[in-house]
Amino acid sequence: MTSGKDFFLERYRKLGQKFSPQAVKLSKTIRVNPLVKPEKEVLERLQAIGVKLKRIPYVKHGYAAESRFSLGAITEHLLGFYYLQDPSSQFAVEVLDPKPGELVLDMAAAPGGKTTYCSQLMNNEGTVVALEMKNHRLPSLMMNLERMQSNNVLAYFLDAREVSKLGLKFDKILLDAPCSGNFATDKDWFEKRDIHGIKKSAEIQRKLLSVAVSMLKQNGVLVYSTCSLEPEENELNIQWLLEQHNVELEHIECSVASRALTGVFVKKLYSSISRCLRFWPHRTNTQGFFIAKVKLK
Amino acid sequence: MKTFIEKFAPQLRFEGEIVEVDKHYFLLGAGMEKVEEEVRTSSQLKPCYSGIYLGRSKKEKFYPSSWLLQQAAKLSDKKAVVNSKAEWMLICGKDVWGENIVSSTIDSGDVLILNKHNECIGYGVIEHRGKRKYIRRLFDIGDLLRREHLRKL
Repeated sequence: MTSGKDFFLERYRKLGQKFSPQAVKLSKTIRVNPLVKPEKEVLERLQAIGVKLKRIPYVKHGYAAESRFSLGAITEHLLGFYYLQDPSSQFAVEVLDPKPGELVLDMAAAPGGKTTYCSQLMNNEGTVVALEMKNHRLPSLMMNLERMQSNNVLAYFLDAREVSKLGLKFDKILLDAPCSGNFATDKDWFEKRDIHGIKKSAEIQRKLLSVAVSMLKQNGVLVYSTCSLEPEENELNIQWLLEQHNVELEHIECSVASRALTGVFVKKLYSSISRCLRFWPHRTNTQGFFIAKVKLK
Repeated sequence: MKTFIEKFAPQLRFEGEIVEVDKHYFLLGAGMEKVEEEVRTSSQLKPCYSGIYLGRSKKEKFYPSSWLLQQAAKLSDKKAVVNSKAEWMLICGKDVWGENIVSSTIDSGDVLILNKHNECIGYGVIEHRGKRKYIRRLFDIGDLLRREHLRKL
């Protein structure tokens, strides 16, 4: 057996996690955008129209939001006051910590949630180079950049594997890699995925990781993230990265996340991989997620 | 874009280079210009999005960005404020009828449309049908969603 719900749940059990997927219920969450409107005003506006907000403590601008109407269909959303975004995704950008004046690369940008958060944390100063290789995803990216008033972005229609063509080196690189996803955000995930597809995905991710490392300035930071729970796309890729490149991992801390795995099935990995983080949906109430922070040695 | 600015905010000035990409207009600041030039020299690649988005033109009509709308509204003396009901109708692509116009600085002609929070949500033309005043919608910020929806079809 290489696919199906039982197959994957048994894998997770072997990784130390026993749970029922039905028990996972994600809240709607937003990231407030002070580039357009001060945070306090956004909160007051939303509360005045009946949106119930609860602060998410481990991210800087994140709130769980409850409303009787769609949060994507009101003026406040159209004007860019907030972005509907999972807290794990928000956290990945906070780990990257892009600063005003820096040159930042977002290797797989569409639809723009993390790109726009980079602009926000940079206060629209410096430059974000955003790449997207799928033509049909470019309109969403451009729409979100416009809506969120991300004014420091240069977006290119380019396969991130060819990023060396740009002739630049970056202070910060975000590789939120295309991956197989997770069951928390896709109710048909268990039926759609199999181990062969996951391994293929991991091969592409390794190519992207190699290229990303080559584009870093000497004191630059690379954040590698996926919304996958599969160790082939996460810890095993980081193990490979540490074996193949002269890089090291930086410790990341988050009150709700779990340490990444240093033992995957029968394989023992470098202990430094525990510096990375995993978001298990049944523990964090977020999508499945993995984050690693990498620096050149 | 020139016509839009001349109509509503002729005193508006931009710092930086205005760049056009397939009828989309951007304002590129000095720091970003340098990065863009380095990329172009190295790869011949041109960005599909560069800096501050100003808007797009299609079939002689200009569709301003939200950023440009807000900049124009700060300077313009041609504004109408509408109530919440009209705000919702407008972003669904509808005209605004007289009873929903809270105030306006002019009685007829081109006007920027603001909500009760003084945020610009579109522009149109104040006209009269008999004794009834209304704003014929030319553009609203709901265009963002409608464009994305059309592209997905």
